[in-house]
Amino acid sequence: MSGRYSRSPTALTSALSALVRRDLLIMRRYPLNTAGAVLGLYALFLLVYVGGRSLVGPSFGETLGALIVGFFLFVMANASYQSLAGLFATEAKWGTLEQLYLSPIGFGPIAVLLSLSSLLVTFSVGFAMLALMLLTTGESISLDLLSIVPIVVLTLLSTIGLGLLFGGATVRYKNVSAVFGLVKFALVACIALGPASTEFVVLKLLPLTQGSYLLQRVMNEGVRLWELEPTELSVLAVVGITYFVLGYALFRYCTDRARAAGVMGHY
Amino acid sequence: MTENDDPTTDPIISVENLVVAYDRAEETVRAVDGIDLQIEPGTIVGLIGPNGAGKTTLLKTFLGLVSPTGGRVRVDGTDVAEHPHRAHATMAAVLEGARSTYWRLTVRENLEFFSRMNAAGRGDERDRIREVIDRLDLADLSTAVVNDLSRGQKQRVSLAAALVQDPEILFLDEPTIGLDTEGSLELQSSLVDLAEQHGTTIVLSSHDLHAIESICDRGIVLDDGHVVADDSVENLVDIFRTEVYELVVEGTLSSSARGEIERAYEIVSCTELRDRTALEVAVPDGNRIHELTGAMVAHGSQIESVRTLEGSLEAVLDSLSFERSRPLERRPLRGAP
Repeated sequence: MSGRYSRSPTALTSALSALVRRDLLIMRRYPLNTAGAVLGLYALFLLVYVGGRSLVGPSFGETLGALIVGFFLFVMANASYQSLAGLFATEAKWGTLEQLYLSPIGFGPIAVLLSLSSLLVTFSVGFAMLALMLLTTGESISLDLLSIVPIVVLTLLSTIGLGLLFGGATVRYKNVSAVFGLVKFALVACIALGPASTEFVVLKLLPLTQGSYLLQRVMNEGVRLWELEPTELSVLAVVGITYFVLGYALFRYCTDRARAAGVMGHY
Repeated sequence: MTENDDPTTDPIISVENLVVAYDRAEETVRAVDGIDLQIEPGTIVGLIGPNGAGKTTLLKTFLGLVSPTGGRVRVDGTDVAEHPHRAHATMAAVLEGARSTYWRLTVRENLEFFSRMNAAGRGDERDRIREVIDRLDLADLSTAVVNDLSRGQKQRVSLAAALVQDPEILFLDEPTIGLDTEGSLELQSSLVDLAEQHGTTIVLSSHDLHAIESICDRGIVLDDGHVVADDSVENLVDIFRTEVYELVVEGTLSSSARGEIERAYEIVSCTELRDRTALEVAVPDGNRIHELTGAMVAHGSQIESVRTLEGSLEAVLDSLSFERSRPLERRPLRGAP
């Protein structure tokens, strides 16, 4: 039997590719829902872009890169914390949540893969939308992806941790969507508090705040990743990993409670 | 029924003193209450019982979806509660009937999804999917979106999604519910074929007693969280074949005769016809039928006919429901622990 059990990289990659493909296929089969989501994202970005341009004037182009990254950070943070809870609720209604639980990869790793899949899909949709946006406005941007991507990944670890927490709570307590609106505002506040974290160091412990601060420096001041202070990068990594580990542990706790209460898969 | 009925084979599922209790409102409900059993590889086992008997809870405990309050479940030597993902490598389940797959995906897309999620590296995926599609006669439907299929076809897709994971053990909860006769027979045929040709162990819970009687090697009758009977389906039916009698008496049954019967036996049913009364009586020992008829005659009943009822699992459950209403007089059944 042990030969059948596997958490090998092949098994994990296979599961992730299956989840991404499934998400894309379902998006294609619900075209109105997908179009609504993409257009909503487009409209929000357009609002920020047009609003910023009219307020700041011609110099707005200099901060366009930072705006784009900040915007995507928010969109992806939102997707990573909210998607898992929504997915579990939907899967339970579809009758497929138990099937995901039965994967030999384990329910915890499956939850992380679900988050990653959601992030990849959100990123690809957002990226396509961005290309459309740039074509529409005739703007062009230059991004230092080598510096930006690692910071974004470490930053999103904290919201994936929050997503695991909300996902676990959904499995155990069912409908928790009422708190999503509050958390969304809190995330915007965390991003906005980035610059203030230099003065009030304790703010660096909030999710997204340190990442937002470092991204601002990379985007606005042109600082490269390897030019950032090791302490600042360490704080980013430790905070992100801590939220992720706590979120994962609470997810496991909630699913264990759901199994003990006999409500796994119910909704 | 299957080729793997060797009783000396190590059990693939082993349940020891299993207890599952839930806190509900102001009381603790013991959905499973001290069950011990073992299931041999390659057998088809039916879990039978009235609503609330503990069938689905037991099934979900086998799968690790429910944690035991006490005792343990081992699947192929692995403690399911401690290492569910290790145990899941050997099993697949159809728990929600037609709802176990993604209805917006096609049949083939579903099979590819479940294969990649649960069985990466187990042989060639395309071969496995092709074999399952052929075995369940889904070739013409492979590009159809599941949402467009009939309920019976969706059930088959759910079964296919489980089989494509190449399980050693297959669990099914109410697999024939909502199916018409033809769909139910097709599913039953597929399950028998799976056990006979591939040695797959199948555990199913069902209210469809005809299906259980047709395909299961063994029936485990649950009531109120306990195993009240555990034997081959043939033996279970035999027990009741000789114990339930239909007696037809002239006119109506006098209250004194009825009282006398109820003191010593169980009246399964009593139907008053125009000029006679038909009684179904469960008699704990076949030899006591003469005492029963003697007592009825002594109380003035004119007996027209006496016949044993043909055994069926329905009779087993009918009788058990009487047992439940009289718990202090529970009759020990063959095979019960």
